Amino acid sequence: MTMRFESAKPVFSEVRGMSHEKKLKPDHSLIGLLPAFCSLVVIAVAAVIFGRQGVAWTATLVFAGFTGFAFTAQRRSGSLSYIASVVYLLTATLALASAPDSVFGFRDRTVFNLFKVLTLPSIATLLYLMFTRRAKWRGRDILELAAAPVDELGDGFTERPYPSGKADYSWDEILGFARFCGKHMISLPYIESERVYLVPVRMGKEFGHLWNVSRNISKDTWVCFDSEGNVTVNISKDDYYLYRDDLSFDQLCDSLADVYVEFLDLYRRDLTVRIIDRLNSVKIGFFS
Amino acid sequence: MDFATAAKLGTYISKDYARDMFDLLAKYRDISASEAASRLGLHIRTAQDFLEAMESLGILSKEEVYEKKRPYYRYTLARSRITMDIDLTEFIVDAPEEGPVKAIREMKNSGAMFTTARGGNRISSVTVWSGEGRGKKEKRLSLTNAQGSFLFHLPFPNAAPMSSGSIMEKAGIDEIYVPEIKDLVDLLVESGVIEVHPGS
Repeated sequence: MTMRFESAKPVFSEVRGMSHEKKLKPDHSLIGLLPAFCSLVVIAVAAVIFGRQGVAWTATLVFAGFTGFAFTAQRRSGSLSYIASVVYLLTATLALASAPDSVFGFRDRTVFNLFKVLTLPSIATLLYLMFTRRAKWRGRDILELAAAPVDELGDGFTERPYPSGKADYSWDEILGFARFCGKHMISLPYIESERVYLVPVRMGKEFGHLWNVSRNISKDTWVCFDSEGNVTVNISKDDYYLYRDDLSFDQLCDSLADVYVEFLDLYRRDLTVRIIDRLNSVKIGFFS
Repeated sequence: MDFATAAKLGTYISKDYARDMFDLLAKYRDISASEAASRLGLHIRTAQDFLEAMESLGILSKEEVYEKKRPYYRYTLARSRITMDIDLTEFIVDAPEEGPVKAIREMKNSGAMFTTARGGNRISSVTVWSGEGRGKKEKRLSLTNAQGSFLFHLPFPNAAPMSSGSIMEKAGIDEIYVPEIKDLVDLLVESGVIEVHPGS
């Protein structure tokens, strides 16, 4: 089945000589480190107030909390990298809890040493996933790809969604594509009875999506595929002003829809590796 | 009956004492405002306003009488039936006149806030602001399905403008909705949310 999409502009992969000159402003945000920073502060405060045993208990509880969050994130997104996070955080939690004079109250270090050793491969796995961009939300990559074919400037931002056209797909295909996007952290799917919203989540912004189950996404950036084949795009004000220039807004919306429609086409042709290749070709940093 | 007269009649007839007042007028050969007020437990001004309004609409007649050289009016029921007949044809909009088709699109930086309907593919409401500073006023328009669908397909601020007809066609809106679409477009042009480009 061929894709039918009402767009006269070339899709991003057809833009000749697509340069790697970034159209997004550089990302210097440290918000992704906020949970780690907060944890350190909490543990430091516990150390001052309760001493060594307080540190052990607090660190264990913090790690246990993050294990729960990572588990929730894995259930929500289906991403494999969150399994690695859960394993790492769980082994670290058990290691902290089994340390001498800690939560479990063990006297010797046998169990502690066992979990400590088990933590090392899980950290290595996690680092591998990070540096191969498998543990990275691809929101910025998607936004960069969408901007690649848009050279016209003109601002024109509006908070209205953009009806981008129609595409041919079955409901099962779009559901499968949505799961694929979640699993590979390309976008977080929000599935309704007759619509699938794919939200390109930027690194550091994932917490609000993963742990807020009733989040209202109407003001977020998304591409919506409905059961009748309509493709609708919404670009949030925050995301639009991440670009260095005021790109032509309707073209940008069209281009964002094109990115997803082309990814859907690749998914249907079982060329999912090409989707990852396209995202990696943008060369956005590991943590942005 | 013109609309202003009908509105006046409707205003007074909807008062909670109106039925009792007509009951009195039917029973008494004639009655003064003070008699009616004391009988129904109303302020004399309230009763007088009601009776004067009914007299101005031709439902009552009044006669000036004197009590120790002080004049006052006595009111009598002049009709046994009130009929409200409003001609709504004056509101029905004819089909747009033939002429140069104007193209429209959303105004850049209009500041309007659009809310998408839960069902998607249409706008459920649009909020516009008028005035400046402390005098700034918010106006929220809830849209019909046809209007919402029209606004959903309205070209973006830097997109090529389109005629209302083309937008309706794109949105799959039937021609019977032309008057309500025109009403919305006129309002949003006036509010600075839609800009008009002559000719196309």
